[in-house]
Amino acid sequence: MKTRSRSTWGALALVAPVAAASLVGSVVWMSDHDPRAAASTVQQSEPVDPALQDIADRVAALQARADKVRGEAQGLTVQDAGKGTSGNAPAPEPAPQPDTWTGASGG
Amino acid sequence: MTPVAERTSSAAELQHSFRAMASPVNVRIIDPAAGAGEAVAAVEQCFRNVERECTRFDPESDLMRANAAGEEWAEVGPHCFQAITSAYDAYRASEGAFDPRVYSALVALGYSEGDTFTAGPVSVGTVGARAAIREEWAPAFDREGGRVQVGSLPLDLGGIGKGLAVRGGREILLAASAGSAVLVEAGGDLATAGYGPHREAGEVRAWRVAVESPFGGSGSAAVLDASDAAVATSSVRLRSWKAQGRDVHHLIDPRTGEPSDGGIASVTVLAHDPAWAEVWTKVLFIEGRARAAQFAEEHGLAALWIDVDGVVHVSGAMAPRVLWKVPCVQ
Repeated sequence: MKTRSRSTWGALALVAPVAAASLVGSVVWMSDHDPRAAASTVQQSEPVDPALQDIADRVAALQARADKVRGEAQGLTVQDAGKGTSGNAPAPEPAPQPDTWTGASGG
Repeated sequence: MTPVAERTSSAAELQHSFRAMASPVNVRIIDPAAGAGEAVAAVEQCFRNVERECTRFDPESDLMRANAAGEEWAEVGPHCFQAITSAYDAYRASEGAFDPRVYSALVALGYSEGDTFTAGPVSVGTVGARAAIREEWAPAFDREGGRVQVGSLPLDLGGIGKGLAVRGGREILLAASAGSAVLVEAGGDLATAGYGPHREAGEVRAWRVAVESPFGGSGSAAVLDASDAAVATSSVRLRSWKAQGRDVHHLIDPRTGEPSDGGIASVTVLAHDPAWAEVWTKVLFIEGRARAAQFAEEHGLAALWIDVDGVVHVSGAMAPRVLWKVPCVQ
């Protein structure tokens, strides 16, 4: 799983209240059709080879499934994992409480 | 449809819910300012206007009058005009992968009523012929007169209409300086401004959006940071049905005239604009599992897609927005 680094979160914690406050009394319209723009508001990502990423996703998925099967075989319940787990990997992270959902009735 | 609206408010937040465009719509305003109540009423009216002008389920709608006129000029309202011009922009930007001229294929497959197809299992006994769309789409626009010529093939604006309504809703709330942070969400397609609800001390504020599994169940596949952004998801979880015994859905590949069968179960895209986010979900869905990763990287799309095996894929541009995810869903 890829998450922001602690330093990024720290910077955001400083920037967020200022940015939020700036909304009041201002009109912000983002008409940019380039999807790169939204993603880049957090950070620039490293170039990713799609083929390698696809393989990595599949390996992680297979690993998670193997862990689930192993857990079930041992009579354990494996909950949703925040990262692919194997062997003596740490316990899975719980999902953060969401504010809303996407996908329920997406058109 | 009789609108059923619900509004709750507190010192820190105002929430307003109603139903439009065959979807539940939710508006949330954090730290609501004076006038926030009027702003959410205007958001609801915006949805009603877009729905009234752009629905294909009302033969008297502006869209259906334009469809009936075909290659002749038809005068339409501003929302319908904007929807058709935006659809044409998307058609060109996606090199035809996004094509609203799938109306006939949807009708041939029996998708004829909006709410019915989100309420439960539907089975259609007789289906009509479908065909690949081979001819170039060349609509004409008279901006001053508010007139369009849609061409010989009728349009379905379902692939972009909700995004335009969400866009309009966010614009209204921003113009009204309604609060410190806002969310407009319609059936899982959403736009936000600001950094979400207040959190416990030490927690970073962000609009957290959970990506639902396309296979059902209560668990999520991922949680995204959707602050100051728009998110849309295309999935076949709800709008799918049986047509002559065969499982079909509403995401039509214009190259075949058939429901897309590219090995993807759902696509989520994060972008600045909700209409464009919605467009790119359709395009990636149609591109299919084999092409999705390459397409997303080539176009810089922040995308998360779940294939039919349940594997959760994330593009490079989406990765910084992923707060949590599972490798696969069952």
